[in-house]
Amino acid sequence: MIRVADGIPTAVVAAEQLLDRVGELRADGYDLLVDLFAYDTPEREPRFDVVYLFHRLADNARTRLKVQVGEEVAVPSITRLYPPAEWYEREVYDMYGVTFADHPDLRRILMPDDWIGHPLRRDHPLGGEVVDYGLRPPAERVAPIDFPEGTTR
Amino acid sequence: MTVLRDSEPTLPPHETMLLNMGPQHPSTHGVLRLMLDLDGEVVVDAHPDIGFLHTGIEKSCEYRTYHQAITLTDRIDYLSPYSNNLAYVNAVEKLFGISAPPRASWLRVLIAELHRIASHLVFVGTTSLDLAASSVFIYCFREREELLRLMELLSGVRMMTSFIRIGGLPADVPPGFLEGVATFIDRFPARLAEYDDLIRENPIFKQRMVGIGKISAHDATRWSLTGPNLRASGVAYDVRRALPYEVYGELEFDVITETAGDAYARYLVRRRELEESAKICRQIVARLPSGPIRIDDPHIAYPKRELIHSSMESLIHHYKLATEGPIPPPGEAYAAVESPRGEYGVHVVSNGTNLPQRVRFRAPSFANLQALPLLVRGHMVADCIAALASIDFVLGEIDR
Amino acid sequence: MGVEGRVSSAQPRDRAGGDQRVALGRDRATSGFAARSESTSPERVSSAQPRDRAGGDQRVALVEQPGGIGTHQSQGVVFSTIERAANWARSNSLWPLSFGLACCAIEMMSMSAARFDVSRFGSEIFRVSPRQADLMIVAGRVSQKMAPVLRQLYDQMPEPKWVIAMGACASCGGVYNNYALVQGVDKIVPVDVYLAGCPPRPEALIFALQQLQDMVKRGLRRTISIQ
Repeated sequence: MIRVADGIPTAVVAAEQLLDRVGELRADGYDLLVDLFAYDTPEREPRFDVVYLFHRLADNARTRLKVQVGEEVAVPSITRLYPPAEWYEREVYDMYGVTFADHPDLRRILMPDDWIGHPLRRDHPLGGEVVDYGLRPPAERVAPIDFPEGTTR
Repeated sequence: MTVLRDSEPTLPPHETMLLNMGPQHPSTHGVLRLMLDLDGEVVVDAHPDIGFLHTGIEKSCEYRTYHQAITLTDRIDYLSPYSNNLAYVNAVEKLFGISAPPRASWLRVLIAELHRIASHLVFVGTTSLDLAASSVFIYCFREREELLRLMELLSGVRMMTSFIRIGGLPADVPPGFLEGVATFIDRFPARLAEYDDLIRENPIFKQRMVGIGKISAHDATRWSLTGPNLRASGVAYDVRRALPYEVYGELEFDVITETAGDAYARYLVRRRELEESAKICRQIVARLPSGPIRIDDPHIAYPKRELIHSSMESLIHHYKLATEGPIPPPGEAYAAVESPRGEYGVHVVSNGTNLPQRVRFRAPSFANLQALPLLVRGHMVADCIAALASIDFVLGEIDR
Repeated sequence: MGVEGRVSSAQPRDRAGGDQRVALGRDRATSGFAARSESTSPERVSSAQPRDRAGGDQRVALVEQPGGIGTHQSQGVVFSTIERAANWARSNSLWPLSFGLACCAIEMMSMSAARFDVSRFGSEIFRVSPRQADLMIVAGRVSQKMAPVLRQLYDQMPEPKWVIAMGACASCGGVYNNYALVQGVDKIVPVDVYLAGCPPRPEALIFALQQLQDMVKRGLRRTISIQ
């Protein structure tokens, strides 16, 4: 597991045990879901890490869970235990394509509804346009960014 | 029609009308699309639709060095840009295992509190503008202009200062800045009294804000609200006290809470936080230590300007930092600050190269806005505006 | 980053109304604006007038009055064309559509606040409804989801309408050359004034507004970039 530099206890959990662990945390008094996000390490299999960060108001304790999933695996949704997870999980789906089982409303939240592709994946191109600053002669201009077929609009 | 899961809704016996408070609206505080299910004038349900300001900042940060990403972070929560910078730099400094020297730390807190005052002034001004008390808007922006003038004196830029570097600050404060801050803080209580005269006990303001958008402490924690929204419901959670960062552990200030949990309570919390921020600024100006404003490690922090012109090594270090950027050891770190909206956190994942693997911005307004349907159910459309204004969200940080 | 008045447009700037020459006549019979395009016996005739939009010649006469133009000795009657009068009225009362998207919106709000008061330039109210506005100041970054909304609002504005692209993000995508933003709002709507800055100072925005007002007053359609 990657080095944790901020002193927050972190545990890697399998996707099947996520709901149980989160239920335990809920019972333990972790009242706030601080953050729910994912990041992508395409060189590693499984590529996605879905990270959950919880906070307990009583003693200001924090704890972090990580679920490592591949592209086709669905992570159980924790919206029933922590209602704000709804939008967070939608964002993870939108940006990475990770699906959440039993999510009440899993659809894109930040990108337009008809966007193809999941922008924050490492293999999704940054996009944008080639800017000609006029400094190089035309022969040396950069080639336009190539969006592979079927990955984005 | 999506329905929130926290309660079983009872649909009214007749149909509801879907009203679109579209992305372009004077009172949505940005490009928020709010779809309201109305039964006459009464809101049955509200569905916020976000994403109209999605800028791809998180992805852009993956293509910038750790230093270059600082300027991108300014524009996330654009009403209080320094808290964004501070959280990001704190996270990167945790990755490196360093911390800024004391003078830099005190100055960072000073600038952050000045930005908090500026942000709360915008809140008071725009909330009053939404409720048609437009003179308060002009008054608040008068103070804000004074603050922006100070920021311009400090860094040359009015709003997006980025006056921070990994390991400290780019430069020491110019002469006149601390005196300007002291003058501003001295005049501030009288100005606050002016705003109070205008709206705090104003019966129209109270009638439009008291009892509107009520949320209990239980619901507020359940929906993970943070910041003044949570504190207005009675939960005394402030990141500056709970998980102190920079020099907040050495400063005296109160965590302001109210119990009512309605829009007026949220206004009161922010209004009283203005005084607390002024108190903090006064303490900092009085107790500011002297010393260096950047750490001495040339692999992380830029060397001093004078040395670049005289020392070859400094020149090389500067060149390497400017082109390649600092390279933290692999790892991840999360740092949170108390922005005017709540807990603003940045999670940085480093893979040992000069570009970050992932930079995640935990925006407080993202969670705060999710609770909106709870706040507006059962209210009329005009009260919906007041409730929306009282959450004080910024679409820039919701959509990133 | 101050804004110097480097305006890259083709026309000379019309600051104190130096280019505008209107005729003051002693004709008591007429009042208001009378069309008087060809003047037969003027004391002084201006030359090299710009052509107006209809292609007509704007040459009007400068008739010297005792005591000078505009003093209490003049009749208080101004002769002009309807086109010029309408342009003058339009330029001095450009009503912006409140279209603040992101950080530039805050500087736009500062512009409308007391210090950089924009209502003294005629833009008293920021109209919310596009049907009532004639100027769209795109203040902020336009994301992919917002682009159709922007176009729809532009289409809903009645003619004549103008667009100021405020800030780097609206002019060219700004700092964000990526998938999420439309790289410059001129990909969607025609822009009259590009204003650089991140965010541009309120004074810069007022300068852009004044440049636009000059253009409108002279009935021209040019593209101005302000850096």
